[in-house]
Amino acid sequence: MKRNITILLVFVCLMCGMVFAEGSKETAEKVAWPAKSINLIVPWNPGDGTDLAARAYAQALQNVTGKPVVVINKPGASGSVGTLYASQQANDGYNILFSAETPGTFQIMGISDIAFESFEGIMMMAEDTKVIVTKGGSAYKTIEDLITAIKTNPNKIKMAYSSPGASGHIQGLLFKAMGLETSMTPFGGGAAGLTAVMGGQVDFTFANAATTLGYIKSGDLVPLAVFSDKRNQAFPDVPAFTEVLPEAKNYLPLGFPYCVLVPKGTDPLIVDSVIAASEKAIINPAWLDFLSTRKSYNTLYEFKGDGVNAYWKNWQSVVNWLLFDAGVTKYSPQKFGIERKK
Amino acid sequence: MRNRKVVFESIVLMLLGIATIIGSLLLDNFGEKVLAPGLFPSFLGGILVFLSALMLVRELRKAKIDGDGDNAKEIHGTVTTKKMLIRSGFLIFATVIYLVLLSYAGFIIATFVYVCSVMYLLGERRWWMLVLTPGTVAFLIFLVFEIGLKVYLP
Amino acid sequence: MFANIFSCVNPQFILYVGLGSILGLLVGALPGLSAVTGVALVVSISFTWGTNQAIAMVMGVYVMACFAGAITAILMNIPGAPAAVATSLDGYPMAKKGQAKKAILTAVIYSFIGSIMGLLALMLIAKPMSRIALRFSPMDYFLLSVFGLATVGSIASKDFIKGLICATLGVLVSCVGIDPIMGIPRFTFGNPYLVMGVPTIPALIGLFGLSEILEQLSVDVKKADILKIEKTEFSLSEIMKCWVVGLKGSIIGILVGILPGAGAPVASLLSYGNAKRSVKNNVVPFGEGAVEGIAASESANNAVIGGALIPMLALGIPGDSVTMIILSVFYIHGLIPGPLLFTETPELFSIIVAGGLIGCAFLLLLGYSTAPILAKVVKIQRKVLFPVILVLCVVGAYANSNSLYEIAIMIVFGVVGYYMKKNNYSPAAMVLGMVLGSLMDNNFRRAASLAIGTPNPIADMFFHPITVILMLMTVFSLVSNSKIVKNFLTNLFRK
Repeated sequence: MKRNITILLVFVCLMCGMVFAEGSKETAEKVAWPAKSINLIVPWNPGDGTDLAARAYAQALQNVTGKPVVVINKPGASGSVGTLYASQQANDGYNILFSAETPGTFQIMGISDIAFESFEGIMMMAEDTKVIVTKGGSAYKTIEDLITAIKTNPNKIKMAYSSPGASGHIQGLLFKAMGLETSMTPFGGGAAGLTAVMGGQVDFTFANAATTLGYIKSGDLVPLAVFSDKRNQAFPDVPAFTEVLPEAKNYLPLGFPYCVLVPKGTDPLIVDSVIAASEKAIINPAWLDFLSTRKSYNTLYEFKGDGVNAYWKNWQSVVNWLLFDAGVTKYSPQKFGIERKK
Repeated sequence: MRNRKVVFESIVLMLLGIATIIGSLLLDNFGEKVLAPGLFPSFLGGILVFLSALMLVRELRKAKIDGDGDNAKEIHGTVTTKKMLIRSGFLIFATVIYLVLLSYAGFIIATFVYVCSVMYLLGERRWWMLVLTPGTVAFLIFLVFEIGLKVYLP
Repeated sequence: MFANIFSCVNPQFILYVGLGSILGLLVGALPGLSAVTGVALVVSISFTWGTNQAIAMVMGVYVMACFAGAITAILMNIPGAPAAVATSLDGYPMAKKGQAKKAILTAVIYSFIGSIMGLLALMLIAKPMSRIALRFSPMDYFLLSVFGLATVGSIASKDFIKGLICATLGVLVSCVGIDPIMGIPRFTFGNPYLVMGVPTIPALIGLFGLSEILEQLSVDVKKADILKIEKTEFSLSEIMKCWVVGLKGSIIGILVGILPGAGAPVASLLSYGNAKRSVKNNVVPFGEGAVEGIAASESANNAVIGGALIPMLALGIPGDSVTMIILSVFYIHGLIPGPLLFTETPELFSIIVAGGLIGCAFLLLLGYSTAPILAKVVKIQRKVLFPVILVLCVVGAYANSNSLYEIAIMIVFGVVGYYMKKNNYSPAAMVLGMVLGSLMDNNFRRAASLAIGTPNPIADMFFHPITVILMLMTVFSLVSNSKIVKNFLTNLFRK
């Protein structure tokens, strides 16, 4: 017993000693970025649209910096789990977030308090085309079949989406605003949604074009329409949604781009280095090949640094109000100081 | 004689189950019926209440059957002396201190101090063992994790 | 097909698999690190290599790490990964009896059998089997998890009700944190750390590792200073006699492996439960050091490798967290996983199978040669061994996501686990509850959401062939373990 107390005392003393000795050792080392491996946080599952693009970017960034870029998938709750995680990481330039559009709707959808304001913008990357897909061999041969089915059986046709507030959900809600009411179920990610379509658990889903190409080629999936106001070069024969339902022009086109961010408060010099590296990455073959094999992407590189935040502010003032007017949000964008675009 | 500990545990678990149900119902359900965040945990709470009630009933009935059955002690856990509890308590305390020390002193020093003290606590008295083992352990783990596996230690 | 597989094998290829195996042994055996860590490391260093080398090394790591979790489970009762929990149920009692070497060799041999069976399935029946992954509806995933937990409740604890309580508590713990569907925090009490949820790996290390040390300390140190090692030799046929269990375990492992998300912990558990129910002529009872228990668990968790690769290669759907990272190796090397991978790049398929098979050979070789050395660990004096294990527990908890908070979680669960062990509760059931919790939560709500839109929700939820089978299995498992039914049946039999 006595001995135990002695040990304890020694332990405590040693600890106190350490604290004082180490306290002064903290020196801020200024090193050129990157000096070590970089974490690229992806708030979605492997195989989802965001993940595909993020991995291509990671590869390109790795090629141009010569340092390993490790992709960390932190999926869950419309990407808010990973976004929150990223915002809590050290803002030293070694934790980069590859984000989809969801932080732009977290607030009005009541999902999370976190938003793009918690990050410093690096660069807008690209946006994928959304396509409405159904299972190969399903009863819906054309988009008209599907629309008729939804109109005759409101709330009965099953649709898969990734998670609340994400692009698939927003598109489902826009369907509702156009009088097409479906039974919507979240599957946690785009890839899981596609699996549900192929397994026959749901009737259709809104997918990122890039994730569907292989399955369309193999006949597992059939594209019914491009959810936009014009056709896409990746599927020249597939109609644009507005060709079938002209009133959709009120809502389309609607972009859901990916962007690269770092946690708020990152040293401006480091931010500049990351931007410079990204500028090199987007002309690296790894990234270019990724874009060219899929054909369905539009790029938005012109938005960099603060331009990224400005882009999202503008996006929110359009999309958030669009959603609010369609009556599908929990809160008014006004509540978060998002002005309606004139 | 019924086992008071089991009765106590059942009641605690039952209260936990009830608290879970209440907590789940208080969660914002966003107007969703089946996707509400509280749905699944409230079921869990219900299952917990049910199971702990079963355990309680079983214990109370057992008391009736073997009126003075002294085998309860044999079934429910081994005997623990105060001395043992104190030793375990010290170990936990030392680990908590180690946790604090890690963030201030870095891995190698903290580990050295920790391994050394725990060995002393467990009755090692040979001084060369008390120095050599912690040193080797700290160094080897550092080598394997930091350099071999690129897992960065505090 | 066989010709293709042999054509990509050359000394360099074998070397890469070998290096991978050594890395796999290391990450698998260290608590807190797993195949995921090892494969991720290979990915980060392999970006300049060719596809063949990278995949060779990945397969070496994968096969070896799946087995190596058993080593610490047997020697120290700290499962290296949730998949090895079932192994520790019999492995550790064997080590305590001085049969550590026999236990490790059993694990080696049945891991080998499981891996080979899994790879054979991948080679021969991947195409038709991959469709099973698509057939499983959310309700089926939910029921599979319930079935798994009902099984662990009955096998990991002498007291069925307490086992189920622990499993329920585990699932409840997994609900803490951000709700995976709606994104709002649940049961976090405003604590910013709890928002990210309670991490499973540190909890596992605490519940098994730290609590084990605490429990050992409550036995007088001087009296039982070291574990003895049994001098009597055992023959290989003693281990081989449970080949039926191993074969069944492999099949269970393959089937569960195909289902994305279910993975190795469920497979080893179901296989263990199955063995416990069907094997009657075992010399040692289950839970007290039966070789059959190790054989069941290890064959199943290694067969998952082949199973998990099936949907990944055939459909581009990863079956577990390791195959998710393997997918990224493909992306790095410019390959697009999906339904066309098989037809467009058949050589890739051969490389994976060849890497896996050579990995199996290394598993046998490394396992066989290191088992006698590893078994000596239990001979180290406890006053030296325990501090080392404790440091490994702390480092393992930290390495999970480089945060001191996880060490704190480990300590808390260590104390909880100590109390549980003292009072006949089952830490194993709790860990598996935590592992399966979010799978259950998500799929339950998904199933309800899918059903609610149909004219007859109940029918839509339950009346599918797979769902009915799983439901019957779960009910059977729950009923056959409850005392009332057992008593009723014995009474009936007597009359």
